[in-house]
Amino acid sequence: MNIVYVLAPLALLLGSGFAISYIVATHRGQFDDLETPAHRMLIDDEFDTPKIPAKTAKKGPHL
Amino acid sequence: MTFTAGPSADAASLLTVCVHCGTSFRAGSSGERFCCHGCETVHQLLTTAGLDDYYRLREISPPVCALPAKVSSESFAFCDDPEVIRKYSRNEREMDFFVEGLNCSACIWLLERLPLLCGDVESVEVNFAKSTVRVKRVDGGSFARAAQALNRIGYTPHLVDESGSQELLRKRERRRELIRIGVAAACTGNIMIFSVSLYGGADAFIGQWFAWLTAVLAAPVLTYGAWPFYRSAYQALRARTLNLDVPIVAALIAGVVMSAWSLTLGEGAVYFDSLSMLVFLLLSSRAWLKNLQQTHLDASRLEDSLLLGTVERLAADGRTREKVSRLSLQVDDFVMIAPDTLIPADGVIAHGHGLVQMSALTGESAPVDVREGDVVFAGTQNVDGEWVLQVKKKVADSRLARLLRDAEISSREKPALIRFADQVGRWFVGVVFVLALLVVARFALTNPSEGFARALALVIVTCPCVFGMAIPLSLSLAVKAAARRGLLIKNGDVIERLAAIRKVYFDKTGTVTEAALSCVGFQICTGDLSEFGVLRALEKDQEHPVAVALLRAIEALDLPEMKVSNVRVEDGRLIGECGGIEYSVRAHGLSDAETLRMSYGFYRENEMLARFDLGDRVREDAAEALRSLRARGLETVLLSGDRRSVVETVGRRLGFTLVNAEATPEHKRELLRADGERAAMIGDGANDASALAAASVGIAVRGSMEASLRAADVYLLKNDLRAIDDLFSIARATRRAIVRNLLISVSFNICAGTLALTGHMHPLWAAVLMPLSSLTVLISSLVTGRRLETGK
Repeated sequence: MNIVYVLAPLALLLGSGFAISYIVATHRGQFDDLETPAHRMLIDDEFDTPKIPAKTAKKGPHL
Repeated sequence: MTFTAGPSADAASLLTVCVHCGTSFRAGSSGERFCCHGCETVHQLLTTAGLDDYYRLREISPPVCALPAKVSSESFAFCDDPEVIRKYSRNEREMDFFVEGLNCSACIWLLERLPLLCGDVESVEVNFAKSTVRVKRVDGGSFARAAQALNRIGYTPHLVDESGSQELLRKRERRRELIRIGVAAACTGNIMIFSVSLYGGADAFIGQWFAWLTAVLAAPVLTYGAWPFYRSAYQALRARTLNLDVPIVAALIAGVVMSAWSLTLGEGAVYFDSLSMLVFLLLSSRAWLKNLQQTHLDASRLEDSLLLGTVERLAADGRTREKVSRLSLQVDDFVMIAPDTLIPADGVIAHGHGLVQMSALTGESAPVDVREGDVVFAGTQNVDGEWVLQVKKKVADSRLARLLRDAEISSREKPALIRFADQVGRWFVGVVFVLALLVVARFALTNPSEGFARALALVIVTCPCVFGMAIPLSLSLAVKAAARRGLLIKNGDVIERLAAIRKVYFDKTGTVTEAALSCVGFQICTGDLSEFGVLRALEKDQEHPVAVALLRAIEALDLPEMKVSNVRVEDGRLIGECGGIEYSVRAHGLSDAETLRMSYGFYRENEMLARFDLGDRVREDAAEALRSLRARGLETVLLSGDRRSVVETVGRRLGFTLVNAEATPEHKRELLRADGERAAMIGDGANDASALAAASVGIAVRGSMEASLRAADVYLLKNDLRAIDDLFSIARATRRAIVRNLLISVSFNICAGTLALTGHMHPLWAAVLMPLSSLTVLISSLVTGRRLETGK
């Protein structure tokens, strides 16, 4: 049972580590939009048309 | 041979589905694949650009609601105005737009590929929940062209201010909320680990230690996490009222006190797990519900839609034109007005003549011929003709600007909504408090700890979560269900307001009618229909609304291509020659039957080949929509600025209970204000904006002016008035669900409360039962919400 005296604080330490990274991620704006990424997941790779890389982009076709 | 005909449905049409948007419609004999021109144009665009994967994606993840593509005729030139860029963009590179029609994953895919369609766009980031896109432009790119591109693929953009201080505050608040929830979740989870052992019978040193650990872990939750509740309860008590957070705070404090007592004594129950669980559940449900609100198209700064943009000003020499922003126009400036543009300021015509459509400002459906010396107003549309305007009032002082400022004020002074939740909740909370105090007092001298335990059990088990969670949940689910029917409701309060509506006011032009001249009947006096090819050739390049109406009337006919020469306008007649014969289109003047406004004849030399009757056609869905509303016992009123004879005719035809004609925008607003919470208003023009804002529920139809869209509480995404009936049925179903949930909750509380008062319920049991009751009510709300989405 003595091991619990070591494990319990260790578990709490680990937990607080995760909590801190959660707080940092929130401040960085990762969770600002929770709904759109869920939709983006549904788009398979086969639908990914090659994007024009920004540097070589000339003025594209104007609509 | 003569035969007369009016607008009628094809007998042999079949029900098909639009290839682009998925709406079902009746295809005519020519086998159309699209429900409207907008959908066809967008489809063509996507296929030529190689983006037709859009349709495959749509099949995998179909949209919430089938919406026909809407391509607005707006030019969006104002997006490049330096004032606009300064005000609305983030560091001049990014601009946010609210887009209409964003309802599926395929839309996200398409919008984020906008750079492929428009060279001015570097990237697009979609925010699905808010229905906004953030457009980042390339160096030196044009926001206007980006907005045009968005428009052309069927997503009408509206400027929103995402960089303002308000928005930043909101963002920071939301992040803080998320952190609170995260911390509460982490702590609660960990507390549970230790609690389980305590329940399992851990005792002696380990038991003590774990109990203290739960206390330590609960500390951040009960202080930082529960802070919003403490603040809200404090504010309510300071104002000498009770709100729903007061009992929650009471439960938290009482729980902490009793648990601390047990800890110091070394024995007795410890409630930290239930308390932090309670905080976590309440925080997350409130945050989730708040996110279901649509706050981005609001009535602040309505004037901007008028003040933004550039115009061509004539310099003093009368020749050079310079592009200046509307804001900088001074009195006695001269401005070039081109055909099919909005007039920017109040003034007189200095030179030239034109045709002006006043419906947005006054509701008048027929365009008016104007010439030198005539007064025109900002916000009206110059349909035809190019002329010079002499500005008589600065844009900000124009009649329209005053109307819009008025609408802003009206929206802030809307009849206050007495939330059902607050009404019943307050009463409920008061009763529970009194009972708790009574039981404490009863046992104060004999057995104080028993009194406290019973009071605690009572307060915990009767926790009014139904008001704080279930009612907002029902309202938000109703908003989602409405979205499925093409109704954009800006927040859940609207559903509650709808329950009190007894009268519905309808604007006429553009709401109940199509606001465009169309052919309501014709009489053909010749057997050879091929001669109409000449008519088509004559009208093809004319911009006059009459031309548009006539062309549309003969669209369905298979006509040969004809060449006309010497096309000219003389004495109001359109004349041209084909094969040596003179053909003309002559106005016959006003007809006096029903809503017909003018008759035009198509002549070969002096012989009439056909007569066309043009008018502002009543919408097909209007009659049915009004009938269903009247069947609900609602009073329907037609409220219009147009002439009495026209308004009364339309009113009679559609069966309105009351008809009010020649109403100024101010008059409209006063009527709505006088009716307070009993009236809803449906409109589309700038002359409706202040009435929409003043009404308890304002509904803007699709294609409304920007100002009305923002001033209203509900926006119809579909071009169908019958959706209004859906709105009322959703509101009624939700009301019933809320009442049912309240009854369940109240009866549960009476039983459980009695048990607590009589000492049969240990506070620990109360802590377990309370979330169970909340869960039942929540599940009931969710089930109703599901049924709303699928059933109706």
